[in-house]
Amino acid sequence: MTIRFVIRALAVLGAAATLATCASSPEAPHYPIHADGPPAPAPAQAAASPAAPLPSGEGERDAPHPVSEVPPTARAAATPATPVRGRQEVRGAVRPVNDAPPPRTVRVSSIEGGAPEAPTSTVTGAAAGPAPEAFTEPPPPPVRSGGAVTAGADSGIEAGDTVSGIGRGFQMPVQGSILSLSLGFALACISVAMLLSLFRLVRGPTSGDRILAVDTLTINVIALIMVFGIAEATATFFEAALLLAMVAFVATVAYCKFLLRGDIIE
Amino acid sequence: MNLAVELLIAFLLVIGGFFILVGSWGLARLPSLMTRLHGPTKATTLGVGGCLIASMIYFPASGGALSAHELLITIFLLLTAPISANMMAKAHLHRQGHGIDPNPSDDIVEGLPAPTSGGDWSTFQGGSCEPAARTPPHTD
Repeated sequence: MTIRFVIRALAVLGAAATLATCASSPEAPHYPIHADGPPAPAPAQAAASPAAPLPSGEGERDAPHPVSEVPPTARAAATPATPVRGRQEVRGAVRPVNDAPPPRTVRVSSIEGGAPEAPTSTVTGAAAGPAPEAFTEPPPPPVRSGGAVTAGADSGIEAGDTVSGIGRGFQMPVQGSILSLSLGFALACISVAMLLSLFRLVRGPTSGDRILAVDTLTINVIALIMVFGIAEATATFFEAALLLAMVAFVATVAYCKFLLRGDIIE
Repeated sequence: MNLAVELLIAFLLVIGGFFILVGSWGLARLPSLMTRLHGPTKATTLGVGGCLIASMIYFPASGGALSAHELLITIFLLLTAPISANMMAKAHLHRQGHGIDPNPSDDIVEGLPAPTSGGDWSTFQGGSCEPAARTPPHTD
């Protein structure tokens, strides 16, 4: 009696929680990209750029700058960089790793110097890419005058698209085709079968009935996963079905062993 | 996708869904556990096999690669369904034979009758009886 009461209480609580969740589901939140307007350009960048031009990689390697030209932040990193080549590097191996010279591709003084320079085009053949096109206003959406306006007509959603859209690599079952209809039939049958199994799980007078109901429920879930995988045209769920099959078998055998012996591992 | 392949997949899906429904209907409808075992262990396994074969045909036919996962699941289900059914029947016999958990639909209230060949129903005794005493000695 108490177990039955607990089950009923849990069912009522679950239904109430589901209803409350569905009723209080908020709108999609709109997060502002910029809290207060677009960010202003950093003043440090404008100040540092003309004062201390960034040393190029070639110039730093071959002709070390005078110390006065290097910014103070770059000096600490550039000073151990002077004995890069030659035998001094062997002797300098006792230094900590952090004092090792930075790779040549890294700009030493670009940390506070502002934005790095624009990436150059690495396309073979073309020395420089085409000039960036000026921003043009996109054409306004066509205004429908007259006729019924279909919701989502301009959103690119086509017949046969699924909700998740995971399996774009496969051909979706087109809605209204015979495959789609049979998928719906199979899903409906499996759902009703799961409800019947659930009925036996709750009702079943003996423990064996409940074990059998759980086993059947798991097999139904495997079939549901496979049919859903076909409907979504994705091969993602096969592993889930395989794991479910294995775990269901082990669970059934463990339950039966417990009923037989009163213990699972003796 | 070819229309014949689509028809075949649709046929397998319909057959699978129908047998799954029949199996679970039998589980919910039949009177006792020994009869209820028939539904899930036969019909539902067949239905799942139909769905899996439909999936196995669908994905190569729609541009994917042939994967052995469905075949693996089918073989695993076909292998494990009789074992789990046997275990459940054994547990049920054990509990019925010891008067635990009787099902009124079975018309068995005070335990199972003794088998005519002597010994016990092929269930465990819970340590009260030696296994050697139950097994008949070899005659050859």
